[in-house]
Amino acid sequence: MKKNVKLYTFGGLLMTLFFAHSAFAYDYKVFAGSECQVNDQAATGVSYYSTGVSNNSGAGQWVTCPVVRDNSFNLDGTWLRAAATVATSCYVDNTNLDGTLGTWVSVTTGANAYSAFLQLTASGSSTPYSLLCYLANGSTLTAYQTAEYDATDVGN
Amino acid sequence: MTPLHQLTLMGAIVVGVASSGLTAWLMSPDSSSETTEGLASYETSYSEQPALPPQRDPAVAEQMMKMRAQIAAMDKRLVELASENVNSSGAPVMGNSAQTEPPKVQPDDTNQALQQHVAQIANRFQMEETDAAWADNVAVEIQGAFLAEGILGNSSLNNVDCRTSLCKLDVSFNDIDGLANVRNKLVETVGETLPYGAIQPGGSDNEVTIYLGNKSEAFAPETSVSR
Repeated sequence: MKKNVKLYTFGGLLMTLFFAHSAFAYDYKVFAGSECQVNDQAATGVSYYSTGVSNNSGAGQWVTCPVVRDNSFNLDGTWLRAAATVATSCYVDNTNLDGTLGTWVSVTTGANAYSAFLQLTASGSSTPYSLLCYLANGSTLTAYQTAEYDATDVGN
Repeated sequence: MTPLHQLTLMGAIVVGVASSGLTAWLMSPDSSSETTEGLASYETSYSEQPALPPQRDPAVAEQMMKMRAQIAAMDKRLVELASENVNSSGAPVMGNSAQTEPPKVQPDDTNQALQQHVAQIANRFQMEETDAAWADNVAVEIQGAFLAEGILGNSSLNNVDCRTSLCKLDVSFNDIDGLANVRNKLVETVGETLPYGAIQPGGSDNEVTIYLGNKSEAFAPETSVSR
């Protein structure tokens, strides 16, 4: 076999290893803000559009947003960020099922921009993540993004 | 060692072995060089292959028979394994059936990781010195949050103790919704000052201890964690 063919093959293997490693760094997911539900089910003036969830109820409203957790056994948390039309307080939590044990971290989003990262540095095995945001009157939560650590979609 | 660690170790061994082989392969002399002399050499060696198999040594022939028997046994075992990986509907199961079902996680296992982490945060609070000026200001802010509309009536703040970057709150609540409301109100009112939080069960079913802080280090795990 020619020497240069060997080198190309070797290079290809190196690139495969590099990209395979990169692919396992994070598992990103983006959700529309309209996935979130208002906590106060009796509130009027909260609307769901393809562009997000809007609060025109006349008062601030908490919304809870679903977060998919594929890697349910990792103990080093996750990170999220959210985007809203005005500065909005959000937090991600990881608590047990009755809410009496766990951790959370909060951040205020920028206006019309993704927030800084909400990094949860620890997680319980198989406990759910939740994103909660406090929408001021007139605000729309447009989108949110999650990034799970590697080893997702591998049967756990 | 977790399954992921085992997988990573196996991967490292495979990559190591593969790279050793690759190195040897790259360093080995070319079976054909770019010169016509090398090509001629290849053609010669090809043409010199015997048309008929050579006479075998009886010992070698016996060894080959044994190897064939082993291969036949392995083939049989593979067929058996394939039939085991067919589910009740007759559809083949991809991969090892044990891997397709998530391992059962006991509630105690789930809670243990969180308990350990929150206990670390509690320990950091105990070790922290007190900055009186900071502690007083933040304690007043927290007490104000509990007086805000929405918390009062559902829960009560029994005690608040602030140090330099951490505060400890002893809270009673009427129901789970009331507790969730406390967390939301704390984020809403003091979230910018104290963005990190942890919660652990208190002395009774309707009591919890909440830790709030302004430094991520205080809420980071002490030891390396499993993914």
